[in-house]
Amino acid sequence: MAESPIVSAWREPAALAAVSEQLARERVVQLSGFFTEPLPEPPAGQLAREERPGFAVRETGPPLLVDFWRLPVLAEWLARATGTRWDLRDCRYERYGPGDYSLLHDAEGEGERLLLALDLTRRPQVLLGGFHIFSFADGAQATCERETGALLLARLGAGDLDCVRYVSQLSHGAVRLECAHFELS
Amino acid sequence: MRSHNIEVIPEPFPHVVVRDFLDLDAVAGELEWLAGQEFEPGEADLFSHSSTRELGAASQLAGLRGALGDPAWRSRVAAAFDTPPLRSLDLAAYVYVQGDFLLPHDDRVEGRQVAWSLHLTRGLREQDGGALELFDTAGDVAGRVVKRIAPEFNSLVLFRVSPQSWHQVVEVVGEVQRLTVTGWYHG
Repeated sequence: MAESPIVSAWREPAALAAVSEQLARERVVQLSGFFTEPLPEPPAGQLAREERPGFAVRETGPPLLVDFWRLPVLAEWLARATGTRWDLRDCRYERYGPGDYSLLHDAEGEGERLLLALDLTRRPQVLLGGFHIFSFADGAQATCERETGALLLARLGAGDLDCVRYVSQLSHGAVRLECAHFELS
Repeated sequence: MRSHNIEVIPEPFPHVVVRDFLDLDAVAGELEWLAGQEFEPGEADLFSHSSTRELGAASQLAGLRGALGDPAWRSRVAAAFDTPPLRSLDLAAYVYVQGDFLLPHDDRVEGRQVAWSLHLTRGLREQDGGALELFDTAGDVAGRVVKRIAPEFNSLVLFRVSPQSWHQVVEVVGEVQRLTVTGWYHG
């Protein structure tokens, strides 16, 4: 892994200030081309099918980028972007093929946290659905389309929810995400 | 009011399928009026479909409401599902087109006793999607799909709303429109 796997453009003070401002205002930012390394391939044969109708139907597996999520340089970048220090709580790989989904109550009841989702989806333009939905406790909503290589960064509080929209059976391909949750230090 | 047999199928949760529910000659004008209503697209994490406004008070649907709201019919439905008296019903029309779906949920909202859906599209094929699927449960948690009910034209599906009444509408994948009138009886 390179000295800093975060592309230099996102480490510039002006860019960080813009991220910080947008995150404070909208609570969700999508950062194109965040990661300098080649996007990793999903594991073969390591995914487990999760079938919880009414909550989530998807495949999950061990994280591909656990070293990245634990990097001090990432922790420092997050601290500068949010004004707060965070600890990695959990991380994993998620795959949503045709017919898969998660629903908004999947993460209900959690406290203040950061969600980081690195988008490893190939050819998102052939997907129907599969985008990210955020529903905030104050009633605000946000959606983020899939974008290969982008980092989705969301600052969530108690009662804030997120999910991956149902992927149509008419889709070709799948949503592939490397997801990490951070909690307050 | 036509006389229908109400045979409750207990598994995976109490439900009824009544075929040939409406006297089509009697309500032909109402169905035509219904098809001409404005359908508003709706999307959430749980669903994608279009629906009309609440039509329970629409004078143009007197025959349909008479069939579903007839006191004797309601009493028989309540007795079949062992519910308190069914005092009111609400209804709206829903259209699912290609890509529309309704993901698993149990329909529980305060006051709902019995859910119902009347299928009004002719000639849907299994490969078009749009079937109603019922789940088994472990406690209140949905398990696997154990029953699929085809959206047969002029069939009425009813089920008792409970922590076990997990169901979904399979995504419509054909180039069709799946029209229903759907609602709930309230206690």
